[in-house]
Amino acid sequence: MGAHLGRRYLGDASVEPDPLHMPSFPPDYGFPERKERVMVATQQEMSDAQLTLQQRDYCAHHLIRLLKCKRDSFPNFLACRHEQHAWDHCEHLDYVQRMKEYERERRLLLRKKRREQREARAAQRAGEVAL
Amino acid sequence: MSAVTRLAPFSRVAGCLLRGGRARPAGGGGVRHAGAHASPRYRECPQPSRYRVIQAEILSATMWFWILWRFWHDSDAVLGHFPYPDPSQWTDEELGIPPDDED
Amino acid sequence: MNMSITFFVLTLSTLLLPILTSMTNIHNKLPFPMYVKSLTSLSFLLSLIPTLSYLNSNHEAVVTTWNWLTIQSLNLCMSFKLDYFSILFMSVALFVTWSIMEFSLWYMYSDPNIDKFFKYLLLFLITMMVLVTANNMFQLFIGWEGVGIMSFLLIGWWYGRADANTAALQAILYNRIGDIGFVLSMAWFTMYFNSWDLQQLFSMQNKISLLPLLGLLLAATGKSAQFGLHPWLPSAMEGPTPVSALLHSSTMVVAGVFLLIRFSPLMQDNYLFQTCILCTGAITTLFAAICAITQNDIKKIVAFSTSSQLGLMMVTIGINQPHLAFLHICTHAFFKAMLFMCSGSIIHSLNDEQDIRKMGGLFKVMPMTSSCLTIGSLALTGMPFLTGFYSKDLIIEAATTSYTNAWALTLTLIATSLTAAYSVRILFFTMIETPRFHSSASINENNPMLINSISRLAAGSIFAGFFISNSIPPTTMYQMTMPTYLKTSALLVTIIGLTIAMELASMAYNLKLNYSTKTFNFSNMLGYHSVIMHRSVPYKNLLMSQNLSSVLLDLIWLEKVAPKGISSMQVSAAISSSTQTGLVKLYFLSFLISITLAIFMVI
Repeated sequence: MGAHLGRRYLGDASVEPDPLHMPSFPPDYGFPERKERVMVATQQEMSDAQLTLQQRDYCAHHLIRLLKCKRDSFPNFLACRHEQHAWDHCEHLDYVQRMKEYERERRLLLRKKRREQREARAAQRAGEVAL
Repeated sequence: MSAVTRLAPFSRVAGCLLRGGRARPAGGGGVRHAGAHASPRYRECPQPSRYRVIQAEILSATMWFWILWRFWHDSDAVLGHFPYPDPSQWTDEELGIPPDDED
Repeated sequence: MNMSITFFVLTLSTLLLPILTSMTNIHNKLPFPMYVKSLTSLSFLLSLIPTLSYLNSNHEAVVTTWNWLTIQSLNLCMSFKLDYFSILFMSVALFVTWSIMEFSLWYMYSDPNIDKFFKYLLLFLITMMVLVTANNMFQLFIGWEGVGIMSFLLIGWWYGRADANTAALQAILYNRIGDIGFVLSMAWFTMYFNSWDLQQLFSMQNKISLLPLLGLLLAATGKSAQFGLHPWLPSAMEGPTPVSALLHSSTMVVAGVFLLIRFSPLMQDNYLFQTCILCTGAITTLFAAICAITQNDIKKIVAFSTSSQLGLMMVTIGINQPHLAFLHICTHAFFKAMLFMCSGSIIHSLNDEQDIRKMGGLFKVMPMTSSCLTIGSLALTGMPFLTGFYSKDLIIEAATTSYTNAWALTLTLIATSLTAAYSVRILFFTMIETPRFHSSASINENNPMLINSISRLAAGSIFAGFFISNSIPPTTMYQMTMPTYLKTSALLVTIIGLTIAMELASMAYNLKLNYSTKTFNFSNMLGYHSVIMHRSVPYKNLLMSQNLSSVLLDLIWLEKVAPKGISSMQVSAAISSSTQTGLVKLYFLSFLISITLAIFMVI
């Protein structure tokens, strides 16, 4: 929505992350032992299930399970509620993960700004003392 | 909300039905053709046959039943599937933000 | 899998049968309209087989039957594409058309040319099927033009009326503007890609420029009556009501949106173009909703609501959710066809009275029609768990949670609330309050052909969305995570629109009418669009040429300059050069001069 644009234009643009160039900090900054996320479904499985490119995300294994369930219990289209919910929940968690990345970026930017201000103040004070 | 009062006829028609159409105007309440054509009237609104009225009520009732039944079983679709997280509740440790004076 | 292709071809060829046999005597057991209707229903049942097979196996196929011609490396085949869009759309369109044909058996009962009418309806459907199933642009173009021609013939069905003729011409002329765009992109594709096959075009999606895409947008704008090329859609209401129902639900107007959905792989990475679509759609949806609010013709209100929904579909394509737009086409077909058929039933019963101010109280008199009208309007406004909800709610959610133009989003939300307002307006004017129609109207809806067709579509409007959205394979990810206020936003704006409309209606119920305001005129005159585009230019032209010919040429050059000018010059010259003034006193004064001279001479 326009809230993000509004904050960027009207508020302080330096602490509002740009979602198109998002991780401007290294991913393991502050997380010393952070591991890369692992795909559960393999490339081969996703090809076999004929997933479209947008669907090949970290929740693809749930989707494959859902498609399989749909096919197995074919005429009964209400049978796969459980699998559907599992997929939806996985997508939800994925979305929350992205929200967390955004929030992390925002707080890191804030922290960077605070540190720069403090250094600027320190430099100014040092300059006054030297005078 | 005077607007609501204008919707009164919608609920009233069921009452008409329950009363068995006793409030028929004089002169017109003779023979009723079951399911067939409406009887001709002189300077009055034609009366639809009883069968059609019941059929129409059943159709509307099906709609309301369907809406309420799905809402009972499937209210997620209207009220939201998953709770929306509040970003301000996340702690710095969770997001991997070191304190200000570190490194 | 092979069975499904066989049945798919069988579905199409079943439809062709009445066209071929219309000259012969094969069908003489049944009247021709009945025969067409039965074959359409048969075709619908046959089309369920490939649809179910697709829903089960999720397999897409391309049937290439006949090599048409080969020009160097350009190869034209007759090939049908059996994918998600075409298979699902065929079933929906055949179901809706079946009901519409049954309805027209009742509505066009007294028409002398009813056989021809049914043949036209069937051809309209067939051309749409050709458009939907086409696998190359040329075949798509045949369907595209066929739909245009059939709409011309059907809108101008009552050709004795001047309005109907004008409307038919308007429809075909506006569509020609769109066709320019289509031909432009076809030419571009031949020049640069040397192919018209869809899968080959899609494989080149990184190398496409903006020009052919804009051509496609222009084509869709013309066919789907988006803002700028929209005026033919309300004018097309001059045609018979079954035609309007067919035109607005499953053929013709959705063809433009379908074209963009078909070509969506080409535009999914082109954000500039998506923004163009988004803005076109948003402007259309709001403009049509504003126009719908003040119309008094019941069919025009429904027509503008279609235009508004088409704008909503364009918005959906603009936020890169073509599958969702397609879902909305499918669900929209059910309740829009039914709304038209209900209004057709009302119009027919009231002796062709279309003005909603002259209706009222039909709730008691036409129970089935009013039940169906209520269901259709509720489905249109997106009442939860009716058919419209399953696509409309997702569209609004996808729009509110995407990186989209906030202005376009706002316009869409306003239009959504206006949808509720004009739906309430129809219900309010036609069904409740006191009757305002003529007492001699022979109201009778007890005809099985009418009742069956509208109640079938009513059942479709209640349940179809649930069935379709649960049984289609998961196509795109729908946004599941959002704050509650965004989740309920579609519902909230609708409720707000509905409440405001009801409140205003009851407030204004006993008021004296004021003179209409400027904004009301703007809306009622359809944004002065036809005045500006159609009237002012010829009017100014005529005025100018009239002035030129009568004032400048006749009056000035031919009259003032030559004869009158010369004569007036001569007159003034004669006057100034002549001493004859006709004033006797001056002559007497001239005697004074000679007398004085004579006296001086004497002295």
